[in-house]
Amino acid sequence: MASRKKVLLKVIILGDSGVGKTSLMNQFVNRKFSNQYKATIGADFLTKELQIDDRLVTMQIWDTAGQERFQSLGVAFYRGADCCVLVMDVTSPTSFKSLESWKDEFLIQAGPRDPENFPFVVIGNKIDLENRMIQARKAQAWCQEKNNIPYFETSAKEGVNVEKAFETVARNALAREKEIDQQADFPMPIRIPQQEEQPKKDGCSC
Amino acid sequence: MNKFRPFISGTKSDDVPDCYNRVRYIRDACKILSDVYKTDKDFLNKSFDNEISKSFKDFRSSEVGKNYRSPYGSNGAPSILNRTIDELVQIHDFIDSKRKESLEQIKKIIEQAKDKQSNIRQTMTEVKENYEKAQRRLETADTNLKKFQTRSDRYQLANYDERSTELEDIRNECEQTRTLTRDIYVTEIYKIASEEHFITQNLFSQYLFEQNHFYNEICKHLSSRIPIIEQRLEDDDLTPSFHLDLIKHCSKRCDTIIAYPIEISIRLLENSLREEGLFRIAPAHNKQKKFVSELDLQLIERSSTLNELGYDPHVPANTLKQYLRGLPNCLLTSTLFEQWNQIPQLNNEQLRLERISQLLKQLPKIHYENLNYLVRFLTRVAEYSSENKMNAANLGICIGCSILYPKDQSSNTYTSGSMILELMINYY
Repeated sequence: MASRKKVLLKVIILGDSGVGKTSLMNQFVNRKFSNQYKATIGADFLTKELQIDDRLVTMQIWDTAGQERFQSLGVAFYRGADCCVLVMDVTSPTSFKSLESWKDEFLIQAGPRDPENFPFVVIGNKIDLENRMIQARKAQAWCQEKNNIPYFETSAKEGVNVEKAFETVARNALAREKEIDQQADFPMPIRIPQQEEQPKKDGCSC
Repeated sequence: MNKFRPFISGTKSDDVPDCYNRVRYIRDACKILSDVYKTDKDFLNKSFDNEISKSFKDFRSSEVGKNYRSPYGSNGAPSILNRTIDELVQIHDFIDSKRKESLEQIKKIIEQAKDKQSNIRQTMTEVKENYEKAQRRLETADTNLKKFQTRSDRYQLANYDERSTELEDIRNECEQTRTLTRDIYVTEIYKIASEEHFITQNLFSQYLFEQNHFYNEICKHLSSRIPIIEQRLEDDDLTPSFHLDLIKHCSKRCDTIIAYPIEISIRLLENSLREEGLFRIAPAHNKQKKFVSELDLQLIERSSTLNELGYDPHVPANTLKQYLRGLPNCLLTSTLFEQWNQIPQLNNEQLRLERISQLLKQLPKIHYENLNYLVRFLTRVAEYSSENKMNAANLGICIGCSILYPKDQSSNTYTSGSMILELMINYY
């Protein structure tokens, strides 16, 4: 595909409340971190342009409120996502355990084509804190089990690894887009046999 | 002239009197009726209701059935299911006994129908045979007379006239007999046909009246029992509280009108006001599920503590949110949903506060008291916001959407609930 049109990637960030979804997005988009403890209301997005190899992509990053685990955000919100970022807090075992249900929730709501290979990225945030509870090995193992989801450990506060994680998000979303382009995006055309093509039957001239 | 036409119009011949088909119809109808309950003995022994109450009686005397008593009823009183099964058995026994009574009546009707049918058949055969015999005799006599009168040697016969007269007499006699038997035949048939009305009344309609009587009695009985069963369900104070209407649930509570899950969750959080991210951070999923089921069974005492139960504070905090979200009618009520939703459009805080206090007055008492209980606690949480980081704004965001949502929960309106709750906490 040689087309060089501008690409828009819809990225959704999910994870338990307080794991740092908003902070990650702010660090990535604005390179800022605020110590303010503030719950997110509803869902909102920020955009950022990114150069991936020779392509310019616009990432539309949707930050969500963590409490929405029980009150679903609705199908419309998830639909058309190109990549889903699952975030946990390495100091909270609960947030790690929740990854599974966030992933399921996403797949159910978004209903993507080929859910087995839908691009997810898992981020273990808050590695700057001392009381880490989830070892990288454990998270890595979980990701491997789930069809090799890429795993990154970040600190939104100190800006560690955030850029790299989101770059992978963009790359994987792009890769999937190409794949889907190459796959028949439309169903096979139905050929309507022309009159001339119909085999003539013996002995009947009508 | 009989205004009733024969039921089955066959070709009428001289031999078949009027009403013949009608009588046959009556006869066969009686037969069908008497065949309906041919197996009435079987039927009485094996009625459907009898079977049902028997299997439940067996179940009650089984080990499982005998041992189960409501854990909360005083002194092992029967549980709601227990009592409803008793009711079910009694009702089926009642229906069964009524059915037996009614079948006795129906049996009488059936016997009459049987008698009627065999009577008709017998009479009909008899009179018909008599008539046909007479007819045949007449035919023979007639033939004999004609033969004699046309004999070729008749003029040679000495006593021709005498013999001819004799044969004529015989023929006339036979004709009279035939007319007589035909009259009897017709009379009998008419007689039976004229019974149609009474047969319909005494057998067929009576049968339906019996049925009607039976079902009416059953209906009356059930109508008198159902309200008791419904009331028992209504009064059951073990109804799981999650997803149950708040007013229904709270009216059943004995010494308070605060919902059980709200009261217990808040009591458990009494010593956790310093917990960072209280009401924001999610607890372990399975812990929350366990706590919900414990609340549904009302297993947790007022004096229980988090330590004893082995929960962290996020479990009751989030369960409280889950409970509020699951109410069929949200805490701020769906009736006032639109009005609450308009609050963010008001220009300043003063107007909003005024509107809020107006709307609060419109809340049902139970909703108001539960909201008051909740907000009073949240105010205390907010007092510790320097430690738990949950100021009124954060609490509003995290809990607001759980106290105000539309009935179908389809659209998401976070802002109103959050703003309203934040204001209520700040100005409590």
